[in-house]
Amino acid sequence: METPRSVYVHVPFCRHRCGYCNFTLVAGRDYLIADYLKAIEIELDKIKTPIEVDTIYLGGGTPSRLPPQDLQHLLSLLGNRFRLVADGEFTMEANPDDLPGEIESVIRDSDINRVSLGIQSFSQPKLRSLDRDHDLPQIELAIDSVKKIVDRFSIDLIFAAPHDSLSIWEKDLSYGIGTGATHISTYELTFEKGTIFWNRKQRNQIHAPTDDHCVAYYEMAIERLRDHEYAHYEVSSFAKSGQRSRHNQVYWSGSPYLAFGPGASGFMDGVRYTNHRAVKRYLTKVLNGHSAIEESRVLSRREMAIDQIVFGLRLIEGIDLRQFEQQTGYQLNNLVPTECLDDWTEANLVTLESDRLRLTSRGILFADTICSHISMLEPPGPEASSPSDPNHN
Amino acid sequence: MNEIRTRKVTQGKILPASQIRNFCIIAHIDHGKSTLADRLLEHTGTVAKRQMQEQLLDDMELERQRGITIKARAVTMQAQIEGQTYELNLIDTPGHVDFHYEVSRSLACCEGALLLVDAFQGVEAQTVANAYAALEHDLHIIPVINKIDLVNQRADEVAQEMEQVLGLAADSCIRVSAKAGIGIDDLLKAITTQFPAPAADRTSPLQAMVFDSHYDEYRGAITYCRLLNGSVKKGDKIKFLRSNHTHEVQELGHFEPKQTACETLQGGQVGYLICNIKSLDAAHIGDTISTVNNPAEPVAGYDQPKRMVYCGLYPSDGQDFSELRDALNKLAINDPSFEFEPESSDALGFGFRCGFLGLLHMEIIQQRLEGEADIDLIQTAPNVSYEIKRRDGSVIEVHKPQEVPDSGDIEEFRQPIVRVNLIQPESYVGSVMKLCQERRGIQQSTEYVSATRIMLTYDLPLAEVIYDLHDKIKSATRGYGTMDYEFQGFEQADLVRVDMIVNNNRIDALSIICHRSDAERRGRAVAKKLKEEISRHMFEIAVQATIGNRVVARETVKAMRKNVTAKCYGGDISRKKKLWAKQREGKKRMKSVGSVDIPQKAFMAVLHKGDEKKSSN
Repeated sequence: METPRSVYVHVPFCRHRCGYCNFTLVAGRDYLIADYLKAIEIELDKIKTPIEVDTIYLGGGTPSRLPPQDLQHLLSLLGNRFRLVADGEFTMEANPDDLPGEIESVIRDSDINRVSLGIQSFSQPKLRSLDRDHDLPQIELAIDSVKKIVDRFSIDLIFAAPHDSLSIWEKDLSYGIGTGATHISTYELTFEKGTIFWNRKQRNQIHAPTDDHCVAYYEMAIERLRDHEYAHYEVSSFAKSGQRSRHNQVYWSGSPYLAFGPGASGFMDGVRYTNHRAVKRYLTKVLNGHSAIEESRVLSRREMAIDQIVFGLRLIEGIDLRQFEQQTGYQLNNLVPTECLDDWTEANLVTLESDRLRLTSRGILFADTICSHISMLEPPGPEASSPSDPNHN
Repeated sequence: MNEIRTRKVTQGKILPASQIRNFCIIAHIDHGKSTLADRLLEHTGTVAKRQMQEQLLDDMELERQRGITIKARAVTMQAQIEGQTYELNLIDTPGHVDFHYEVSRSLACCEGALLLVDAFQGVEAQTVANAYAALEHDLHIIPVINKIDLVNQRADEVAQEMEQVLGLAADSCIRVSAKAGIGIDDLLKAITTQFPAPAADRTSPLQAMVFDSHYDEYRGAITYCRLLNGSVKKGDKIKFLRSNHTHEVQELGHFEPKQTACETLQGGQVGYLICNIKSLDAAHIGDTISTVNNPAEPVAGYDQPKRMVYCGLYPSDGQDFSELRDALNKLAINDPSFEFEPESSDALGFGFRCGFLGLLHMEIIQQRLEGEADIDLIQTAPNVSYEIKRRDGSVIEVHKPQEVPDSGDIEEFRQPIVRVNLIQPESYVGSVMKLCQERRGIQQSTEYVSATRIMLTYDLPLAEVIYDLHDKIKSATRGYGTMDYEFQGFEQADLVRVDMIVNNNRIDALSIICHRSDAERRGRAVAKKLKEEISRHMFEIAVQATIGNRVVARETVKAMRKNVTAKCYGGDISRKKKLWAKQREGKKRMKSVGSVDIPQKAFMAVLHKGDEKKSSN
């Protein structure tokens, strides 16, 4: 089995939980940081000899919320187990609130060479509606600070928020482009079960924008960013030349990666696993010598191949079929019936040219329909039902 | 209490017909029929008090749940009243109009009927229908007012209502509380003194009428019968005169209420026969049992059960088809009035067309299926049975909308008409009349039941009644209104078939038959509901209601604009896969027509009676 060359570490601390967020985190409970670091250390002790890795990603939560000395501690724990290759990518997520400050020097003195800033918007009312604490001056300070400490930085922007509008979004995009970010991720606000926004929506206190609006936001982002030389390389990711997130591409390509921290998901030796999502439970389990893993699933070779198609299709350049066959031992036709592909081609959803399968620009809008269809395909067998119409969703 | 000495029926001791009383209790639902039956069993000592189980006669679980009696049962009690020993046979009759035929056969076994009325509720629609049925069978009626211990009882008024509506002298009413055991002894005395003894000639050839049967897995059909003349004993060769089957009697006896075997049954008695009959079809209700060699005349009044309401039943999961067939078979063995035959629908796959005596019967069968067989069902809209006279003069019976021929081929389209009695407080009469008129009812009469309650009689299309009339009446009268109906006959009407077309495919299971002037409203309501239930696809979906080639309503399910969620980081992979797995489960429960996925809920929601009207308001 391939040795993982990527590491994800989840840092679950936040000042408060934003209304739309359903990630694994604890808000306002920084007193758990000490236990958290102990737990991470226990998890990391699985690594007996240092591993050489290409990418490391500190996500959250809010990694920048860790006090500088704790961040320093976490980084040294990682540094003892993982050797980042010379041209490796080490990303840390940060909140504009937390910069500038003492943390700058910790980052500067570490291997961290890429920062992902959770800006979400530059519009004051929109930020407020999203429960974000920062404001425009704070964002500018943070960007200046980031630019001083790393060469590469990414910003996250959200569209289709409550009270959002195309003109607000247009300004968000221009501001974002103006920051000089090397990478921009645009997310449609989704209403996830268990969030305040979900509840408000259930009570009709906020309304999700129509699909037509969402498409308009999305298409505007694609167009504006492309005009400013941000290549659309994945459904929600845009990058200047050579600035794609290498770490995320590991997820999408089906390569193995390690994961640590509450709620973190990893993929190794053909097993997808996820750590305990509830932070307290994660800490209790790990500190008492139990496994951090809440659930895991062994994937068959076929499932791994299917996953590669499904997540590979989210990449705008699509899948190199020859490479796919080499890696998985499967031919596309063995997994996805030709009729399906023909129908999708005819419906202008996918194209298959020079050994490359990819979504068309229309197909990107229906990525979930196509991907869920492919992931639902039953393996062919004597009792397998015939593949159904691709238009089903 | 002391006057009545009670004991169990004595084995082997046969009473003369003059000491036998056969009777039934007829009542509106919830007026206390089962409780009264229990009390009679207890007061005659047939069942000891501590063994009493509430509603002993209703032994089916479902009946207990619904508090209603579905199938007739008979219990034999022995009572000593003023020094005389009597055999009392209580024949439990179904109270609902769906079981009209069974009621008539049960009544034919009795000489008397207790007409039980709630001291607060008073005379209700069903009371009237049942009383008329008893009078038609020349039964002696003892009016009984129940629940006289209620604080708000109005027994005097109720007695007046009985006199007013049913012509039963107010002062002849016996007042009881079945629950508290008040007046039960007086009632037992009245039963023996007022009801006539059966006139039976025990020396003539055996003549017994089957009034019910049930199926025992081990012993076959258990046939309930009333011996009109002659006698029968174990080992006798008997013949069912209508079905022409011959059998040997293996066991006979009474229900006390437990099945208790005896040596012989004699003219005037009521009891059961077990003859190793493997299907209830061979022991048809209303059939006459006689001897093989010297048969008596068949008893008049035999009929085939008339199915008035039909619907399609489909397994949610096509895999369950054979399970469903087995379950239906099992039910049909126990209930010959229910029939089914395989049918297929483009939309729903393979299922069965099922015929029922009426709506209640349909609900009972459905619940029993879901309860006993654990099969998820899709039920199509119930429809009544129609008669169509074709241009060539032939008459066909139509049980489902799909069978309606092209309008050019129809000379006459006839639908069943029922006479509906509606009793409600005066203040609601206006709104009830309005409901009936809207449904093309023709008023037959108006009658005061009491100073404040009025009985309206309408002739209405049965289709309108099963569609939603009962619910509407209940809400229009705040629950005070009651209704009952009986079949009148088929009448010509201006009926049309409305088809639902989804992206140029007719959804056969959604076709409806309705009056021409309602077609547009009904069609629009169904189209609207379908639009709500069908989720967006990648293409636009047209939903149309049509009569022939004419489109009467149209809705559009717009094409989906996008289906992509932006986020996809490491942990999202497992999360997304979970979501997709869930979608896969959901999709299994969809029915595809053409390339459109129609959720099963759409069939339920659209077809459920009344929903369309609500949503169109």
